[in-house]
Amino acid sequence: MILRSHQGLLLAVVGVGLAIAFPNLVSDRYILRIGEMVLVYWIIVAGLNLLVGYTGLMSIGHVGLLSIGGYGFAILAGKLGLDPFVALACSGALTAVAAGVLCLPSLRLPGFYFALATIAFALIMVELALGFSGLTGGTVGLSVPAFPAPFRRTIGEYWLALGIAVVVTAMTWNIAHSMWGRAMISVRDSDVAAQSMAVSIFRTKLTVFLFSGFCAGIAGALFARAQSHITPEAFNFDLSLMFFTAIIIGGRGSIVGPMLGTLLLAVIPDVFASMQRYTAFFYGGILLLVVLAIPQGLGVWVREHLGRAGERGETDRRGAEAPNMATLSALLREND
Amino acid sequence: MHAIHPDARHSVVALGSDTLAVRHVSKTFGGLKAVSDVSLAIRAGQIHGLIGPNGSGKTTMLNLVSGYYAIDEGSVMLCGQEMSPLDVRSRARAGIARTFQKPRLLPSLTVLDNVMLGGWGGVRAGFLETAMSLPRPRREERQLRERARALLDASGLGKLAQRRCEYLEHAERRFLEIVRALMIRPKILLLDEPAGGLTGLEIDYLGQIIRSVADAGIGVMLVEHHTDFVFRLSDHVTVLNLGRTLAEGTPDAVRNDAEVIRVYLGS
Repeated sequence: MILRSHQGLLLAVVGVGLAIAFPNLVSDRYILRIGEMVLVYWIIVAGLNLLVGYTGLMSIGHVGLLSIGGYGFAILAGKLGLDPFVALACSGALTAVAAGVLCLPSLRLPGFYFALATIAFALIMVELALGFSGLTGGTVGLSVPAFPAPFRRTIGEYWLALGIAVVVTAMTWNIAHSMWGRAMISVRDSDVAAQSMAVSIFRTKLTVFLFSGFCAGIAGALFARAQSHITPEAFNFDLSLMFFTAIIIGGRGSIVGPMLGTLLLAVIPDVFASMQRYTAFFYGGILLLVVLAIPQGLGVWVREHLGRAGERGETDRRGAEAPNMATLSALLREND
Repeated sequence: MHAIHPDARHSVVALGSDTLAVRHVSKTFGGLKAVSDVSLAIRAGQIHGLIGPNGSGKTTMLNLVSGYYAIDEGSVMLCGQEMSPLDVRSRARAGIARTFQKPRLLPSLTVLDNVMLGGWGGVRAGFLETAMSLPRPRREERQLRERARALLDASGLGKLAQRRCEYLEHAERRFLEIVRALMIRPKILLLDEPAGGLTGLEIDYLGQIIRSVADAGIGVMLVEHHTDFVFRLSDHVTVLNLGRTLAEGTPDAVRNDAEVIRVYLGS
């Protein structure tokens, strides 16, 4: 237990250290922008990861929530002239509410149909953005106001995204290693076990979905600002596919895995910028490769190979021992 | 003492002090009467064996009591409270714990994590509180971890605490599922064929665990094919056949009942 949490802490320190050093290592503003996008994508993927990787709810339409955060921010901070930080928080809250509205009719649907409902939601959001052109600018789009200094320039936006990403990561880490995390995994793996342990399947799913909606809203606002001008096209369905793929190649029930997945998928299109047309091809190729070679995902693969033998039961093959009846009875009698 | 036949069974139910009282329960699946007018009562600390041939309605009874099936007729009372309108989750909260013929564990989690899940009903910390790692969730986590560890140690599974469930052997899974069920602080524990596939020594361990549970004042309903085990352990036995109560009484009375021998035990 101690070893594992120290490993996690070490990993976190190294990761944050690298992220802080990054702007000093690169001179190119374009590359810094890519770093910012990786962080923004991670903010939405981190929330989605609790939903897909831990609770087992297949949402493929999170780009719809991203667009609500983006437009929410552009309208609140731009058209209504709210303070950008207030607008940022409001975008998160607004998107969480929208996530709730999406959930109420669809959450009881079985897995595949729920996934379809989220896709439909994403498609409807694009149409709404086009339709309500008075509010959203339609195909012309909206310009997105900047944050005040010191978060004004690209480097400032990077620091802001990094700060939020660290907080969101810590929150998902805390959840994953708590009773909530265990309840979520029981909903994912066995609804029969979940019910018999008094876990409310609906309440658990709804809570996690609202949180992922909040993360998506915050990410959407930062995403919109990074683009500085948004149109419905900016919220391409490919993005949704990317978020989902990042989690699948990262592995269920892992935080580090989907983080690596996000990094991989966000960077690849820019590495192969000359072949941008083939972006979807790369996503598909990577997904296929991972599913075939390491179906449990990057994160789980790393854990299996670096983890302690004790978890696998290889060190100590003594199994169940004689129960201590007096102690057991005494423990259970504390009930009342 | 003689086994009491169905026509006389009213005399043994309807006691106010029963932990679990099942009264005249029936359940039909598409014209087939899976359970028909069955009554039984389990007092605190009592081990009640439920035996009978395949298809006699034993597991259906467990599902009716724990809430996976809704009863068609009759009532299920826990400590005087009617359970039939409640779903599985609410019944678990009220104190009905159960295990399954095929253990329902979470394979990717460790043994300790699986047991801790049983403490969910007592968790008060909300999602955001937990995400921010405030004092209350940390305290609850620590308390549940301590209790889970203590239960595992006392049940003989202490050495397995950090092992992931997918690497457990059959008997270990069965015992683990019982320990997890005990973590919900049940008033009644329903066991669905817990001795299935266990070796002699493991069955002894199982018997000790069940005896300890009963000693703590928890009622136990034991559905089991292993009749020697049931007769050795139980205070009271009910025999089902074709969804009806064939006989009930003390283990000795039931074991020597001519009808039970003819239909189920053989000579």
